[in-house]
Amino acid sequence: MSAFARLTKQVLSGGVTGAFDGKVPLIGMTDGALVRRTLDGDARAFTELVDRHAAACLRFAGRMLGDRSDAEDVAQETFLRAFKALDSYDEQLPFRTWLFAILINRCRTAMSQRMRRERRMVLDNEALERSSVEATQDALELREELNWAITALSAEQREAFLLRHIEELSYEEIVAVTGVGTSALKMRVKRACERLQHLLTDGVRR
Amino acid sequence: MRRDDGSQALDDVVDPVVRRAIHAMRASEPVPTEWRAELLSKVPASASRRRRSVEWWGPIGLAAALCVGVGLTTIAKSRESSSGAGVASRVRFSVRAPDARRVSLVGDFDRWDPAALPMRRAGDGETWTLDVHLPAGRHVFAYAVDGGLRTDPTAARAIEDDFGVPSSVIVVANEGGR
Repeated sequence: MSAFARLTKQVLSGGVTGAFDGKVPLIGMTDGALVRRTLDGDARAFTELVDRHAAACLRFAGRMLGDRSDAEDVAQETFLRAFKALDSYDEQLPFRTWLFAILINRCRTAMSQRMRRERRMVLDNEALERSSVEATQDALELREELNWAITALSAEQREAFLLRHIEELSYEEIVAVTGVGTSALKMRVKRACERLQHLLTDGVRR
Repeated sequence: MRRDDGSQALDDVVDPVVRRAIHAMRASEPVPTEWRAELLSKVPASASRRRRSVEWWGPIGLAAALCVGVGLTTIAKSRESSSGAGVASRVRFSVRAPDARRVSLVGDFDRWDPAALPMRRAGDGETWTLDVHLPAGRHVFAYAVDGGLRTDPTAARAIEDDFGVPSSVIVVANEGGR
């Protein structure tokens, strides 16, 4: 008898009243445990990893690339590369940091591939419509302002700023995933903050 | 590795304008359902990774769905021109389940996750539909109706019911029909 048929019979006979037998709840598992389960063939485990980290990957890629569609492509590619390289993941490093190392490389590649294209920031109306929170006009203007300001930074400053202040990685982690020295990173973050302050305060755009 | 948290990171930022900007930029947007489904459909599935979850919405729903007949309608598939070869085509899935409370599309493309692709009840109150973008190729799928699984009688039956899970097959061609 197949596992499904066995389960069905149990259900119909009232033999199962709680969680399904043999299914380990994934909620609460560490990322490292999910990686091990994925490698053991549990398809749900990788889905859980995607669900935990997709929003951050899309956010970072969106801010880095300034284009939602490009960000979605890069984020997908990141997860697929991560899946293929999963057996090389070392739990000494947080999974998110390891994933971001791949993501950063994909973003850099994407940026280099489109260097000749005009850099632009598209206000993503679709994403706004998807938002469960009804955005006010002020919020829309703020978002547009922030998008514009963040893309006005150099790629190096933007990357360092986003990793430090938006994704909240420690400097040690940023060093590990970018290969840039601590002093240089701190300087980039500092300069990025100064530039943002100038852009957002003085309203150079207007 | 030591990790300092965001509040400590923010202590480095003294300017209130930048602090407000950081708070605003930390907000995440919802992950698009179709993006997620497309990603999961691309994840390589080795034999050991193709275990199908039967951890649906609970045993009560599963039993009910197995006991109550659910009518299925024809899959209507509309193809849309896509930018770039090999890009997903839009496929419309439709199932008649007038008494169902929750219906979703499950398959290899969403790793049999019943939460990934919820279907919507149509205007007639009896049919549930969903349009999804699927890449060209063969896809095994089923409908999860209140926790139980149903095949589509208009589609070919999958022969690899390795876990006894009823499933159907749809083949999305690069051009042309199913």
